[in-house]
Amino acid sequence: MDQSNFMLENLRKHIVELDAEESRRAAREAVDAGIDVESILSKGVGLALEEVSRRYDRGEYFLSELVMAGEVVNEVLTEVLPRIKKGENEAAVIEKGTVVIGTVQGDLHDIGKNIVSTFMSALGLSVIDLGVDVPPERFVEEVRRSRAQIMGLSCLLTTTLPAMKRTIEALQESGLRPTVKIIVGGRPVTETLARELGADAYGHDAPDGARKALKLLGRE
Amino acid sequence: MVRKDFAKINRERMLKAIDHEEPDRPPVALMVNAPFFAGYAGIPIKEYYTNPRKMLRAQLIVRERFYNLTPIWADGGVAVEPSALGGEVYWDTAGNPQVKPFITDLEDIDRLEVPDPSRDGWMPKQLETYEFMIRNVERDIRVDFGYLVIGPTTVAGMIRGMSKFLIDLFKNPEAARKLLRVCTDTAKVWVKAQEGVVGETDYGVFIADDAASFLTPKQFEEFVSPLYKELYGIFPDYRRWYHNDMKSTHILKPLADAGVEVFHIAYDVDLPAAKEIVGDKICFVGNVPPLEVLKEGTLETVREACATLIRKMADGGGFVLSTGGFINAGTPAENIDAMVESVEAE
Repeated sequence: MDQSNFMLENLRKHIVELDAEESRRAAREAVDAGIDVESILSKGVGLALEEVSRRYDRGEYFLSELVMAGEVVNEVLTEVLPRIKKGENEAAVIEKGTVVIGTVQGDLHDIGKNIVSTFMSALGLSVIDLGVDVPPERFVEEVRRSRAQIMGLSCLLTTTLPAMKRTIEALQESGLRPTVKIIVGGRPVTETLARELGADAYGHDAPDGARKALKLLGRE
Repeated sequence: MVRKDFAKINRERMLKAIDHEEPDRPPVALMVNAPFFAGYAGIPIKEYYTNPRKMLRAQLIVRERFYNLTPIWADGGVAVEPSALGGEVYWDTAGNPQVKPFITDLEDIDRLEVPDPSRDGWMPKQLETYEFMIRNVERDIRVDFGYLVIGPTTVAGMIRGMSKFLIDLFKNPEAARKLLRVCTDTAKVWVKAQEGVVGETDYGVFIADDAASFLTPKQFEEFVSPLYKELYGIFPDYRRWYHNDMKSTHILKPLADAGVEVFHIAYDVDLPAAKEIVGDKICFVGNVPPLEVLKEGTLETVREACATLIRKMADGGGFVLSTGGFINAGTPAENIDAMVESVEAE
């Protein structure tokens, strides 16, 4: 195994073990060794999150561990991105697309939305997080302003499903719908319901949501 | 057709089921809170929460319509404990009271004080609501839904911010522990204050703690389980009720070990599998899907879902037919009737 692969494997291991300090150190060393940012994101962070996701699917990891994985990745990105943007590898920073994301109106739950945002960022998407209890018109306004390719809607309460529907309708009424893909997720949402709501994709959990977003952009 | 004395018979069946004896027919519980009460009575939800007269009226209307099966109590949503700890109450767009996180720095935890229920946040208002209700209901109606508290995990997550709190469990475990301690001490003074006003309860101590499901089993055992034991231990002779709307299969065993006795469980938990895990330690109350089946289903789908649950769960007791989560606003009354009637069906 060459030095780069060894360093990326080390980074993956620490992220999967949810060790923030060691993950930051491993990421810093990878940058110092000249490993390009795309490799750090895809072969380091991306593969680590896939492993976290697999463990979650198998019932070995739980929600708090997904949240912590997101925190570890945020710390890694905080460490890596500024150093690279200042350096000569700036052109290597590839943004695969822009996502406007939020928890729909009437719903204050942010965990799922926060995790999926982190996973999307780690996979190279530019994420604009509108927070919680977001009115439909605010989603539309931000999609228009940012020229986002994807709108991501999250909810936890069954009672806020109508707000998800209203948000999708608002995007349709704005005329922006043909250029924007919609992905939905959250506890009461199902594949069938997502189709009925008029979404393009459904994420059954946060990692799945991030993967599907990439798929919608043709950037798997 | 539901018989006149159904509530009394149902109550007896429920007590048997909780004791894991098999009643002649399975009992049913209608778990209703603010959105359904206010919606059914045609009262704006904010007025329901803030006007004791309107809250009582809404609850009595629902109780009378649904065979005296629904409880009467001071319903404060999730705002009572967090507001008493210093959080500012605001109204979300659905009209429910909420409290924004206010523990921005870990040092803020040291400044938290266990509330005085006669003075802090929504607690005095809730106690006054209880007193109003007790004064104004007919003598044969009990004001009682147990000594109900929002559990320490949920309150900690609300006032710190849920993601931050979950991260604290990994990065700042001692701070998380301190926060949970204050939230538990808050719950302790709150259950005692409720006892002071309500008197004896037919339900027991009722902890509602959805956020506990976000933890790993190990975190739950380490951080939360001892706190539940403390809370339930205040009234050792009372039943130990629990509500959790999230998937909880992974913490079922530790929940049983923490003393949970009657569990109002979420709609997406496999109940027979849950029963396998805890045996006769927990009586499950659930878990007809409140949205897909009870609100949006036909009479036939409601009957089918209830019959399936009864077939799988009723043998040997330890089961109360109910919704997995509270009944949604706008649920058709005839669907609720179908659920109630299903316990008498062959």
